[in-house]
Amino acid sequence: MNFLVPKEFLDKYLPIADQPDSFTSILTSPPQKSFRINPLKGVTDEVLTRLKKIGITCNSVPWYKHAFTHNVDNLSSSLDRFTGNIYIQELASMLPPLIAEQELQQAETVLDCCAAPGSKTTLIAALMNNKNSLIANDRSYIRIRGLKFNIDKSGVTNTLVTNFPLKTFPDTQFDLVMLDAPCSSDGTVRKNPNLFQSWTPKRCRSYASRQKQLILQAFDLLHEDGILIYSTCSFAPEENELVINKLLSERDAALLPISLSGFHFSPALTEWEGYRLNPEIAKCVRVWPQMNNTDGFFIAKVQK
Amino acid sequence: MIKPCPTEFKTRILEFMYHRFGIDTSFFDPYLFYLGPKGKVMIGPKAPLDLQHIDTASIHIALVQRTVKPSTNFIQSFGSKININRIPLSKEQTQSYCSGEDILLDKTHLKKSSDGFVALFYADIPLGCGLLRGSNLINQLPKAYRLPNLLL
Repeated sequence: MNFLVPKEFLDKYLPIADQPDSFTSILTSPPQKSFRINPLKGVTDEVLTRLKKIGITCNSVPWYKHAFTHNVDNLSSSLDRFTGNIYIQELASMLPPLIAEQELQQAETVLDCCAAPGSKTTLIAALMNNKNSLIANDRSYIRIRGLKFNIDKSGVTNTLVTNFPLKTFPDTQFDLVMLDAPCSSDGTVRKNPNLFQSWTPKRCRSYASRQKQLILQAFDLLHEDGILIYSTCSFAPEENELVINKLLSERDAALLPISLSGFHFSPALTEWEGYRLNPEIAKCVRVWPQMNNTDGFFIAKVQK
Repeated sequence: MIKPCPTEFKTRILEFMYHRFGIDTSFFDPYLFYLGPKGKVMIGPKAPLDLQHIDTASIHIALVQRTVKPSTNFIQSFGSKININRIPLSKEQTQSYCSGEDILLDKTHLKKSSDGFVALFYADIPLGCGLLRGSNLINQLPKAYRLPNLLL
C-alpha cells in the first residue's frame, strides 16, 4: 500500500518521525472511530448501556474519561447522537482543549479563533462547565451555520458566536485563546487518503505564511499572563515549529510544557533543514499517528 | 447581530415555560436573554464584546412571534426540568418522530396533556417538541435534525 504515499511526503517526514517504520505503515490504515460523551448532557454509564444495546462496542481511552473508540459506521444514527449526548470526534482533535483543562476551568473569557465546525468549541465549553464566557469565532459565514448547529445541539449555554477575520477582531483581551489554525491537514491522511493526491511541500508553505500572521494576532488578543493554545493537524514543521519560532522572535512569549496522563507526546523539533530554532520549542509537542493510533497533530502552549 | 431581549419578550417566555412546562422562572436566573432576527430568543453568557459584534448566542430557546414556540434544543437540553405536558413515546413512535412524521396518539397519552406545544420523551430522554391538536401530534422537528434510520 506504500505506493499510495507520495515519495516526497515520505522524504519529508520519515527523517523526523518517531518509529519511522510504524509511521509508514499506519499512514495507509484507517483511523480508529471515536467519539466523546458530552458531559453537559449525557451520563456516561447510561449512554454506554444504550449504545451496547444497539450493538455498539465502546472502548475507553486512558487519557480522557469521556472519550471512546467504537466499531460501527452508523453511530450518527444513534439516539445519543440525535440528542447531543455524544459528539463524534477524532481522538487527536480533543487534545488541544484537554491540555488546557485546568486553565479553561479558571478562565473568565475564552476565544476560539477558528471555531467552525465546533468540535473543539463544544469540548472547551464542557471543560468550562458551561460557565463564564466563550467566544466562538470563525471568518466563514457559511461554516458558522454548522458551528451554531453543534453548539446548540451540545447544550452549550456559555458561548457567543462571532464572524470576523482575526485581523479585524474587535479590540478585546481574553484569558485564554485557542488557535486551531487552518492548515494543510496532512496529519489527517488516514481519514482522507485523497489528500495524498493534492499534497505538495508548497501547499504546506502556503499555509505557513497565513499561520504566522494568525498566531501574532491571536497572541495580541491575550491578557497579560493569558494562555494561547496553538494547534494544527499537520506534520509540516513550516506550519508548526517555524510558526512558533516566528512568535518567539516577535513577541515576549513563553512556552509552557505539555502533558496529558496516559497519552504519548513526542517533543517538537528544534532544528529543521539545517536551521536552528529557539530551543524552547522542544516544549511543544508532536502527535505522531503511530504512537497513540490517532491522527497527526502539533500543539503549543504559550503564555503571554 | 443580537440585542438584549426586551422585557416583554422575556416575560412572555418565562410565563410560557412556567404555565406550559412547569419550569420555575428562577431556573433562568443564571442566563442573559438575547434577541436575534425574526423573534428568535437565545440565552447565553455575559458578553465580553459589544453586542453589535456578536452574531448569535447559545442556545436558541424559543421563537417569540404571535405565540411562543420552544426550540428542539431547549427541550433536548432542559427537558429534565419539564413537569407538565410531557408525552412519552414508544420505540416505533420515536422512530416516526425522528424521521419527521406526525403521530396519531391514543387516549392514554392525552390524559395529562392539553392542546399546544408539548415535550416528547423516549425512556425519559427528551427528544424535542410537538404540537398537540386533539389526538394529532404535529411534528416540530427541524429538517436538519431529522433522522430517518434512528437506531433504537
